[in-house]
Amino acid sequence: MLFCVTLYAGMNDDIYTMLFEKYGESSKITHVNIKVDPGLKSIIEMKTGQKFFRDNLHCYKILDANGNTYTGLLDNVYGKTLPITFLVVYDETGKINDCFIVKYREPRGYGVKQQSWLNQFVGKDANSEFKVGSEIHGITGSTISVNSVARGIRKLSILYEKLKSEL
Amino acid sequence: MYKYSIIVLISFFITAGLSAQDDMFFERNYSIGGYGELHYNYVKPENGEAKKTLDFHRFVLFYGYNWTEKWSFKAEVELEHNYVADDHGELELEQAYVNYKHADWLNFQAGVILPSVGLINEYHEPPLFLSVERPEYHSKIIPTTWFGNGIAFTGVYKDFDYKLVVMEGLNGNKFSNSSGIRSGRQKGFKSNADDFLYNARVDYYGITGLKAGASITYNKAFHDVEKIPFTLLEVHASYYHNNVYAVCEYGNISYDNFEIGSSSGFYADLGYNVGSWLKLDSELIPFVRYSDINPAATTLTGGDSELANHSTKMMAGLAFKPIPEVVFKLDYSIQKFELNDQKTDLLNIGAGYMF
Repeated sequence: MLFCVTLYAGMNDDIYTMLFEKYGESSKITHVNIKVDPGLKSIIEMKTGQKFFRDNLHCYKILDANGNTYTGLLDNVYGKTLPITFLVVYDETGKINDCFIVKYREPRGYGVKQQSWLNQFVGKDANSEFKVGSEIHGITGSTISVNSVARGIRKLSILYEKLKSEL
Repeated sequence: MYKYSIIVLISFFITAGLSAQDDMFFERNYSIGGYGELHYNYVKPENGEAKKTLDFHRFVLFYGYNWTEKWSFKAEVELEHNYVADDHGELELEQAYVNYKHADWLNFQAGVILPSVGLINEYHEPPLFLSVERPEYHSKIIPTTWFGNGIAFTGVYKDFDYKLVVMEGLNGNKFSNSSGIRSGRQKGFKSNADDFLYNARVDYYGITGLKAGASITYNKAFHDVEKIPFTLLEVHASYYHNNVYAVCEYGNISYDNFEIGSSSGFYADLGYNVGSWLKLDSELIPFVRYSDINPAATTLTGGDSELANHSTKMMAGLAFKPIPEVVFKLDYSIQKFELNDQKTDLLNIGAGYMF
C-alpha cells in the first residue's frame, strides 16, 4: 500500500513550507505515496461523482511538538481546463484540520485559493455533505472550480475514513 | 513610447520562454465546455397586444488547449437565437485568445477578449444569475456580452483581483438614446483602431462570500463628424453565503460631443436558498429584483428625451438548481416607463446549463 517516491521538488518544498508554517518548525513530516485499491477507488468515485486524478496519492504524516498526529492527502481536480493541486490535512478522528490549494493553474477563478473559502471545510469529515450553496458558499466566476474542489475534498475525506487505520 | 512598450513585451516573452517549466501534474490537454439557455417570454404592454416567444436564446461552445502550464488558448463561439440568416440570429466568436501565465499576479492575453465591466460580462453562464434573461442593466448600461480584439493583463494579489484591458474602441455613430453605447460594439469585425479603449477593474474577495469591485472604461469613440469621448464608471458587489444571494450594480456613462450627456442605472437582487430549509439536495431560490435604468439620463435637449427611456422594473422570481450546473427559472415583472407612465407585464420561463 505504501511506498516512497520523489515528488517534483519545487512543489514538495512548497508543501513542506506550508506544513511547517502551520504545524511548527519542530514538527516531523514524512512523505509517502499511496496506491488506492481499484475497487475502493471506483466506489468512492461513484459516490462523489468525480474521478481520482491518478491511481496514486501523496500522503504526508505530521507529528507536531505536542505529540498530535495529522495526515495530509494531496490530489488534483480539474478546474475549467487545468488541474488544481490541493492538500487536505486530517486529525486523528478524521476531521479536516486544514485545506490548502498548493497550485492553481487557471488564469481566472482564483477565489478557491483564498483561505477564507477553504476554512469552511475545517471540521467536516466523511459524513459531511459538502453542499455548495448552503454548507459551502459559491464564488462568482469560479462555479466549476468551487464544485470541483468541494467534490475533491469530499472524495479524499471518504478515502481517509476508509484508510486511516492503515496510514 | 510605443517602441519601449514593444521592447518590454518582447523581453517579457523571451524571459517567459526561458523560464517555462511544467510540473508533474500538468498534462498537455484540451478541454471543452459550454452553456445554453431556452427562454419563453410573455410581454403584455398596458395598452397593447401580448407577445409570446419561445427562443433558444444562446448556444455556446467553449474550447481550450494547454500547450504548457503557462501557455494556453481559449475560445468561445456563440450561436444566438438558433438560426442565422439575414438579420436573424448571430454567430459570434466571443473569445479567442492566447493566455500566458507568468505568475498568479500576472497573466497576459491577446486575441478576442472581454473587457472587465460589471459582474456578468465575463461570467454570464445561466446558472450564475437569477433571472431568466440577463438583467436589463447588462443591456442598456453595460453592453454585455462586450467583446473585441485586444490585449489584457490579469492577476491576483492577496485578496485583490485585477484586469487591465486595451482593445478596440466603439463606433459612436451607433450610440443611441434607447440603448446607450450598446450598438457601438465592433465585435472584432475588421475593427477601426483609430483610438483604443482602456478598461481597468479591481475586485476585493477578502470577506467570505463577498465580491466587491469597481471598473473604469475610457474611449474616444470614432464618429463620422466628431469623436465621442466617453467614460464608464461602475461599481458592483455580490454576496453568496449562508444561503443568501445578494447582488447590486450601479453604472454611469458620461459623454462629450454627443446628444446624450449621461446614461445611468442600477439594479439589486435579493434571494434566499430555501432548499436548505426543505432539506432538498438542490437549490431553490426565490428572489426579488428592483432596477432603475435610463440610457439617456441627461440630454442636450432635456425634457421628454430624458424621460422617454427611463424605466423601473420590479421583479419576483424563482430559480431551481437541481445541480449547480443546471438551472430552471421563472420570473414575473412589471416595468414602468416614466414618460406617460406606461406599464408592461413580463413573464419569463427558462432553462439553462453550463459545463
